[in-house]
Amino acid sequence: MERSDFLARVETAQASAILPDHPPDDPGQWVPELPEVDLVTRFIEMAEKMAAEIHTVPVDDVISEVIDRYAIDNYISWDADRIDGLDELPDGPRRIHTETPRGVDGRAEHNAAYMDCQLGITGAEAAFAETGTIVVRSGPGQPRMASLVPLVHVAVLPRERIFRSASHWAADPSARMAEGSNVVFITGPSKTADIESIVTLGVHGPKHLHIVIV
Amino acid sequence: MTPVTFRERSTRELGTEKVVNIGKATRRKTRDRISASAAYPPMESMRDRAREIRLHTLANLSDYLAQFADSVERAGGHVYFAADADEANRYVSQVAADRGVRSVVKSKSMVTEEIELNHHLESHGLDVVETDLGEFIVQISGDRPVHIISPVMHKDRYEVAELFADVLDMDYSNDPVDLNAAARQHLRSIFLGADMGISGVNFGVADTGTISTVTNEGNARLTTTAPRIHVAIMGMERLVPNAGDLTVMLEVLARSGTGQALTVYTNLITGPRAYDEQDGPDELHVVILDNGRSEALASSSAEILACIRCGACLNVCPVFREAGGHAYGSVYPGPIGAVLTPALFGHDEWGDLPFASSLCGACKDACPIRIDIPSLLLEQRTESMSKGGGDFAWLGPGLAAYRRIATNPVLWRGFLVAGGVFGKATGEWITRLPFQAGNWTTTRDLPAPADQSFHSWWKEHRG
Repeated sequence: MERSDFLARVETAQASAILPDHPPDDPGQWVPELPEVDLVTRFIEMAEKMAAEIHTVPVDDVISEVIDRYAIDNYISWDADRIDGLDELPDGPRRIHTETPRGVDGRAEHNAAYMDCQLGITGAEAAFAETGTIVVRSGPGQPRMASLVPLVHVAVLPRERIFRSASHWAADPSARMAEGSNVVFITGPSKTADIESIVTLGVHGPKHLHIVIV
Repeated sequence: MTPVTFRERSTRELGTEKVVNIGKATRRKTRDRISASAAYPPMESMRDRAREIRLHTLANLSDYLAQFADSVERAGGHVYFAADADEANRYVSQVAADRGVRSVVKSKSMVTEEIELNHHLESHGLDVVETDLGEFIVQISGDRPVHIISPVMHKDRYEVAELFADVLDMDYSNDPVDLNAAARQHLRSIFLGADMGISGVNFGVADTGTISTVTNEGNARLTTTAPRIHVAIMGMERLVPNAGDLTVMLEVLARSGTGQALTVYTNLITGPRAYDEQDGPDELHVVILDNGRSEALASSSAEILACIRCGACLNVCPVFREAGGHAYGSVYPGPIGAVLTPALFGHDEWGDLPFASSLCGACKDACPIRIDIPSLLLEQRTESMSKGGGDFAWLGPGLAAYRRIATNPVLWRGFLVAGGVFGKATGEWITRLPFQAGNWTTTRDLPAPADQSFHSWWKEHRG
């Protein structure tokens, strides 16, 4: 249908819609009233409740530990200069390339390399204390796949970027929710409860989420 | 009138193991929702705010739609306005044909169930695979989703285990961890090789053209990242004005739908992959669907379009708990479906659904947007009756006859005698009335009249 016809039809319909007490103006930014807490403490408490593992030691130590613990031999990463507190990327395991071909050809072949990807290393540009959530944005040197396909995801979060809740973050000028083609809020590892409401971890996304607070 | 009525469908479902499973799962979900809300003091004021946002958006929908479409295009996406299911389906298959698409992955989306997109694409020779674990199980078992959030809440692990042992390359196991691992492995290679990913939209943000999808598994993220083309299908009412409104809706949705503080993955997409980004789809298409929504918006049930598809009303509904989702015959079951289905698709086929309710009001209490579902059910019943009434056509003349009898002492006494002779009583309840009045007692019992009528008691004591 033509856009103008479609919109005209909607306009006619909404003129006779019965919508009790609708506000004439956009209700505007709303931020919930929540008790004052220490943001870092609250974030750790909630993120752990969501089955994430929290670390407060240097990033390089966490990565070494993770590589040993899960016997990692390949990984995807953001560029090192995009991650706060990271000196250099690990040199033991093989780094999987993320520059995905454009167009019809080559994409499936490229994607096949993600099949058994074990570790992903990314930054996190914000967090919500109340829900234990991190915010991960895509961009140059910040591929989406790094937080998505590996079995283990290590995210590095600067402590001053912890907000009280999603709405507190959205109200902050730094939020820029539409900048970068993809922004994702991550609350714990991938999970499902589709079979008999029994929670199992690691469906399509990572099974283990490690957050390093720096 | 529909060839198969709610009454016939629900009769088939009642008492089966399937609805016992549904009863258990809905009760658990309701407990989770209540404790998640109780754990979050601002929940009640957040619900008020969510309601304001939704109603304001609906009242100004054409402006927000225009703004949204402009924003999507500015971000590099294509927008298509589809008047109905047919237009939406044809647009998607045309995009696929033009770009040499062979394989399609889908993340869970009720709107694509509504338009039967899978069927359409398969008839055009495309391979379509559902990637949400529940929807995948639905697809390989040739079933239909039983609930808008939990499509396989009617199946137990043993049924899934047998299905997977049969269809997937795995040894029999009924451990959900093993079943999940087998599905992950199987779907992973399909994801990575697919040409097109199709998702729904939980909310579109008008001022930025951002579309959001929420999943716990990550299937919507893979669907919108791995293939070169992303097609998002959105019911036209699913907009919010801006990012601040979005976070309110997301928190309300998660706490009401699954009792989570926030869903594991909230995926915000603004346009396709940028020129300097390493991955993501080359193309983004957003299909905005009417398919009966403008008629619903113009009707006395416009408020139903404020629904955010959390499923809370299904979980508390005594009818849904006993009859299950398939009894409704619609992709949208439960209280919300009993209003939405006839409002979108007409009363000729769906006019009996609004009667599938005791009007107890549990749905209104549970609805995060505080939609007055019981009143809307009554609006839809009125609409059904004005169009002939279908399965309930007897109700109008029946009540008129009852009024005539009940207001005439002679007729009333005769009615009671006839009821005693031809009807059937069990203890203090009349379980069957005779003749046409039997329609009333097919689904309910009446209290039996006292041995002595008030009339004669009055004569004895007062006279």
